[in-house]
Amino acid sequence: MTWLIRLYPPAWRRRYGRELAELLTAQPASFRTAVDLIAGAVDAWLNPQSSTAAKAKGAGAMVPKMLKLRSAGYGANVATADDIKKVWLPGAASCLLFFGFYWVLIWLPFDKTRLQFLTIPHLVLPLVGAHAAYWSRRMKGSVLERIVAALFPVFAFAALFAVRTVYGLFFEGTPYTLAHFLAGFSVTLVSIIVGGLLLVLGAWPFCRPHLREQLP
Amino acid sequence: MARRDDVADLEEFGRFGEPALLILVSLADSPKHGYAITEDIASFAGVRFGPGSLYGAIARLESRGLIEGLDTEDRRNPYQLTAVGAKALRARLASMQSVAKVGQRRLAKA
Repeated sequence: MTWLIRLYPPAWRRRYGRELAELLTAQPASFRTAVDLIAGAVDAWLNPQSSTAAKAKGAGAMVPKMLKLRSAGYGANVATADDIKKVWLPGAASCLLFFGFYWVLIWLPFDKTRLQFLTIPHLVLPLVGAHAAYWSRRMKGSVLERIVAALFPVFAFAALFAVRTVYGLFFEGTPYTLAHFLAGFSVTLVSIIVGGLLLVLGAWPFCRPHLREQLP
Repeated sequence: MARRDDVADLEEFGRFGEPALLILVSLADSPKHGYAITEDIASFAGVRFGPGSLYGAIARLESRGLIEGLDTEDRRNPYQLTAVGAKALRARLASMQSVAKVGQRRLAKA
């Protein structure tokens, strides 16, 4: 179960990782412990504590500083992993939210027209964008990271189209013609442009500096 | 007034408030490492916190200067109560004691 420690932020792991691993090996593994660790990891990302930075004083302070010197070619691992998680964690959560909503819509017991089926999920996109940007901001992501996190469903649209095309060309029984490709491409393009705008619209209020960030 | 501030320190811990208080109580007599704290709390309070909750509370206590880690070569890093932590614990226990007294007095009258 010690692999769950990898869910914690790198700075947190540097400070408490060894002790936590020691504690885990002394205890029997259980589902409750796993849930507690995951909840702890989410909390550690959302509420970073100064104790993880405070211990870096003195000789040990050089290591995190070097890790931040990406331009000098040092320590891309930890610092970059920290930055990436500010994007993909909220982005993935928002994708889940959006596609979860789509799944619920599919199963809702009413006759949906093609227009309804395409437009109703788009109404949720501002909320999804706001959700991603909010969590990215809580994880101290930059404005660019918040916007990229918010745009994750758009990347998913593009990926789905690519998968569909490959499937149509090589695995589908019926021939995949240019007309099929263009129909899929136009729907994907509209989803990317309109969806992207709606996602950024929702994310926009969370891209301004937080009140706490404006304080001197 | 200082006492109220110390009490507020623990109150802002949210769901980590209870583990934090019990960790302070556990460290009141001697420094302990994570596993020893868990076992000690289980023995005197009858609750066993998960490792995520335990270290969530430890991180908060340490960042507010209520406890501090002792440097050892061992993987199991012990923690000890600081003077600020002892003061906060005294204040919290006094506050709980006064609430308990009021409750018992009112129950006795009822």
